Amino acid sequence: MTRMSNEDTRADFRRMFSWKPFLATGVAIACYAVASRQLGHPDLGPTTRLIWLLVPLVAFAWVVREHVVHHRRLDEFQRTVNARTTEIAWPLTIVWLAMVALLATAFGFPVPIPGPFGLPPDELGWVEVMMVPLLLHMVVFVVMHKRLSGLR
Amino acid sequence: MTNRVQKLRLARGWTQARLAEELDVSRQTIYAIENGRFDPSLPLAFAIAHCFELRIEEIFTPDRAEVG
Repeated sequence: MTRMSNEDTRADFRRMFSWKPFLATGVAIACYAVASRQLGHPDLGPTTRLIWLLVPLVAFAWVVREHVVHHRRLDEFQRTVNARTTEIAWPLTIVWLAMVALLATAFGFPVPIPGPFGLPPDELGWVEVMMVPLLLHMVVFVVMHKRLSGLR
Repeated sequence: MTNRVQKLRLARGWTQARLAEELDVSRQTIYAIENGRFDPSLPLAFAIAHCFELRIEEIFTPDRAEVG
């Protein structure tokens, strides 16, 4: 079995993992979080309300665009690896969301998960709960991707 | 599936990057095919055969279990 040089591995990694979809996803989540808090203000005018409704929609449209552009750049092997990896990463994310939904049903929201970094439990809101599956998904995706694609 | 892609490539003195460029795929794909980690699609197998001016069955050999 031949081994690729470190330079080749880095070049392949750069081609398979575009930073733009990750950036777009992060920005979209931040937009969603800010917009959801802004929309909670009772004294919001109709124009401002519309703007805050549109902000996350535009951000999510950008996410979709970046993912489609990135997907088109991949060849059949990379798409196969992506598909297999996603098969594993998504169920874990869904399990996490289901677990949070169960906890929220049982105890109400915010979920009484012990707060990290000294944060009190009642500060864990939707934003924090949504960030965990995203990070979990990304970690599983990168690890499985490396295993399946032979990147070392 | 076993294949002779690496032997054929080396016989021509090509790098993986050169063959990847010829086939319009990533170098990673060539690496995966050569090491038996990935079986190419029929269009890509035809492209490889065309690239080496051989027939598909002269490059790719199915395992006994795959033949049935």
